[in-house]
Amino acid sequence: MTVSTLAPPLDPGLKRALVSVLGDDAVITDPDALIVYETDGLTAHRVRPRAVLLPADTNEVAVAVKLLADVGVPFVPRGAGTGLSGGAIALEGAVVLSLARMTSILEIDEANQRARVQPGVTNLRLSAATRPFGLYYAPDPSSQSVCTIGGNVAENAGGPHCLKYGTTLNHILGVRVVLPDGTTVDLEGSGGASYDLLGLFVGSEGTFGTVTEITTRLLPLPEKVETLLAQFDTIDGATTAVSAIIARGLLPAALEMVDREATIAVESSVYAAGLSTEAAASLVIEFDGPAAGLDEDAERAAAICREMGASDVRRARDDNERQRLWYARKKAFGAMGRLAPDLLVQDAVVPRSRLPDVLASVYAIGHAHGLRLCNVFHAGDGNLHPVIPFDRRDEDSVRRVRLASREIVQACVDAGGTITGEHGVGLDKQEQMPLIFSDTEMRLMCDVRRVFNPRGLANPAKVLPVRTCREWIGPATRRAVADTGDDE
Amino acid sequence: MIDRLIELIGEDAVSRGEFAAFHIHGRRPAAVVSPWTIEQAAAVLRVCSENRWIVEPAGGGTWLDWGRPPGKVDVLLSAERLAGVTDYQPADLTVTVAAGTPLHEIAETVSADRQTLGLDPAVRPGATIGAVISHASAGPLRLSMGTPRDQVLGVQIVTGDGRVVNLGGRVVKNVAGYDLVRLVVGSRGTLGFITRAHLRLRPEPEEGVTALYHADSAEPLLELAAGPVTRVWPAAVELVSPATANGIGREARWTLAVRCRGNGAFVAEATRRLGGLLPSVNPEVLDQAEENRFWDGLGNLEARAAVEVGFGSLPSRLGLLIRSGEERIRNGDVGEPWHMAAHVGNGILRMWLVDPISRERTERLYGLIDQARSELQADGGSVITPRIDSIPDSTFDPFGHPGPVFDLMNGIKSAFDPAGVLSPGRFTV
Repeated sequence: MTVSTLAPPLDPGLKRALVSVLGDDAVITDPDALIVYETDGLTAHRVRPRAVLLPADTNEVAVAVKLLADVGVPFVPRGAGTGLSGGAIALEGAVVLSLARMTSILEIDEANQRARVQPGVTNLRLSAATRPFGLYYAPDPSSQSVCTIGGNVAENAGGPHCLKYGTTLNHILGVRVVLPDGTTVDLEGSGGASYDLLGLFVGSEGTFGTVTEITTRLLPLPEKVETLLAQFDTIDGATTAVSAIIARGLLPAALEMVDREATIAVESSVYAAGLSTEAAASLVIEFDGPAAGLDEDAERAAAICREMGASDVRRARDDNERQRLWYARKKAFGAMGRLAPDLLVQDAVVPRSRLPDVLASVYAIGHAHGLRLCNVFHAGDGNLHPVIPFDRRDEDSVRRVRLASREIVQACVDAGGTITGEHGVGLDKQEQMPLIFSDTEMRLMCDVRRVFNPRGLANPAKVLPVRTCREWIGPATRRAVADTGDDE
Repeated sequence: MIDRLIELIGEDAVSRGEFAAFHIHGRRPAAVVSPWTIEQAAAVLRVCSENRWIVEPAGGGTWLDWGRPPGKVDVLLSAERLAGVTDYQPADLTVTVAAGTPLHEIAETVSADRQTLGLDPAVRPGATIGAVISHASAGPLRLSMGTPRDQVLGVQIVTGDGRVVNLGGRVVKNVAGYDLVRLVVGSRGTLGFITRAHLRLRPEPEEGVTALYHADSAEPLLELAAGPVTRVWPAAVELVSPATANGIGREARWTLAVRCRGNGAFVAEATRRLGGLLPSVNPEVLDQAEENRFWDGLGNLEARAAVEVGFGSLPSRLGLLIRSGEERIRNGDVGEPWHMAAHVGNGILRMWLVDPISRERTERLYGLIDQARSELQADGGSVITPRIDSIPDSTFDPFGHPGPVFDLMNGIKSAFDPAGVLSPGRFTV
């Protein structure tokens, strides 16, 4: 874990130039005012940035980035700072390029079902603004009331409804980007004259440049939503039901699992929904879309749950009840957070059919390290979120949490999964990249990053293990090495 | 070259190009290489890069007439022997396939478990999944199911200089590292030779219905599509011209085909709603067998295109696109009959000719396309020619210029293919 340090202050000449472009109140250098930018959702790491810039539009971003590039000062684009992988933490003397003032919804195009927004618009606000047109923005990360569309693009954010609707990638139609040298480009998908640079940019975690305008798809609001909650006596019963629902041709909008430990935490909070705290696991299952046929799908899912041994299956009768059933899922992290001063939320993915054995391993790992561990996750996607409450002042508990966390990721990788499904690599998982990628693969990623970010000024020391790119040698040199049969 | 390749991977994987069934804009490759293994493919690309031998990747050989004509082709690198569904887990809703697997074979394998790839591109018989990924090809179902961009979870490729890299993974959510998979999808073979893919599947809808609405012009049907049709939760909405409707055995009028898919209760309700969309019009309602004939017929007709032009724009601008397209063809003397079909909700219009046209007409067509492109590009639209005859020494550009991202594309191309041996000059980089 990183200790807060003070980076050298900005060069006065650079500061004057930035102030003259952005205005006095858009260049923050007062050390006390910088404290809130020390960290993001991954609070274990803290680094105070040299300065925070608050540009108002694409042009201001471009000019500011150019000024920084001219003197070789790195920068970190930042949305709401809710990321869970440390991606928005300013390393290597970087300044923070906050997009918090770029909050305009520039256009809602009802006829073409799309919106054009600045990156600082929050996820939920976009859906609220488009609701009067019968439209909404589908990706719904848990932090949607505060997280921004720009941050969602940087992280390729997911959410409970990815199962049916996909992630941010599937909902972005175009972006305007200021590259790390200050030039502005519009990126599109493939189909025309370009590679899918848009698809590449989404999820690049601020290391390819700064997104300043985003065109999103909008979807028609569902006519109806059906929500079920099924409780099971065994974890296996719940995971088998998940597989069966998928295998039998149902496609719920969301298929979420909450284990007993988490249910106990929620039920002893103000969000208690009257669930049994004896059950080993609960599934929240939601169907949405056209009203016709929804009832049949919900009934079939309920029947499958009963067949797999569910002790209790409830179906929400109205919006109120629907919200209560969702409390079990949505309030679980918060409720767990009250059990200890710190909370580690792990994020890894496995093929859905491997959920039963991987979950068993996760519990065993927690047990072996004497940790209280719960699971609240996107079961339909195989996207696990083991949650471990701990106290960061207790060194031994920190050590055990780290060990357990690493072993959990390894178990997911061994099952054919991946190290992160929606939180990103950031600063947190760089060292785990070699678990799933070879040196050759990481070097190719590094080569591609260099195309966008040749001097490493955009969000330095993130995503790829630092040594991969530090020791990086250009393609020409690599060919010479390959010729000697001494690659890697 | 042939001797070196035979020495490298054996006689049974290398044949001389002069006898090849394949040609690329009339040009035969010097050698056709069909590796048995990924390691062999990597070895071949390594020596090709060392010697600057130009490589054209291929699957079923159904798509070689894309892009600019090659200056030369030394090696046609075929994925035909890298074929087969290698791992299918119905409970995961994912499938892993070798790149040379024909699309229909994957469809058949997964349909046994009532699952589907959700891809219905217009492809010629034998087209492989590798080609569909390379060309990011999708059909009318893209409205509800997406395109290869949404379906491809991971790919294994061999880069131009013979590095075997696994990009993405087999799980449905994955944000580990940079998403280089997206670069490969739609890169038309210029970044690597695809050897394997992990694909997302969807449940096959239980039932389906398609309603056909007819009119004497496109406009009223586009209005119908933009308004009432959006309220029936369509899986596909396709507008076809009279010539195209006629070509698939329907009445020769402008036709809007609206397809709904889902469980029995949904399709029953959709059928009822489709019948009442327009008070004055009684649509033709096709049952499942009939609708399959309609959609397959449309795909097969488009797959027979000798010349095809694709337009991309905002859905609300389709009417304009169609009008100007019709006018240009009418006055342009560029052959007939031109077929037209539009993915209405996606703003994509395709126009195609089944029979090849003379060189003079092709030259005139180039002119029309350049004109349309300069008009459309100003509004952020695009014009490409997925298939078109080439004319030696012509400066015609089948895809148009990518604009300010050109340098980024070139940088990416050199990262994947440093020696520039994979289909150089055929795409935009």
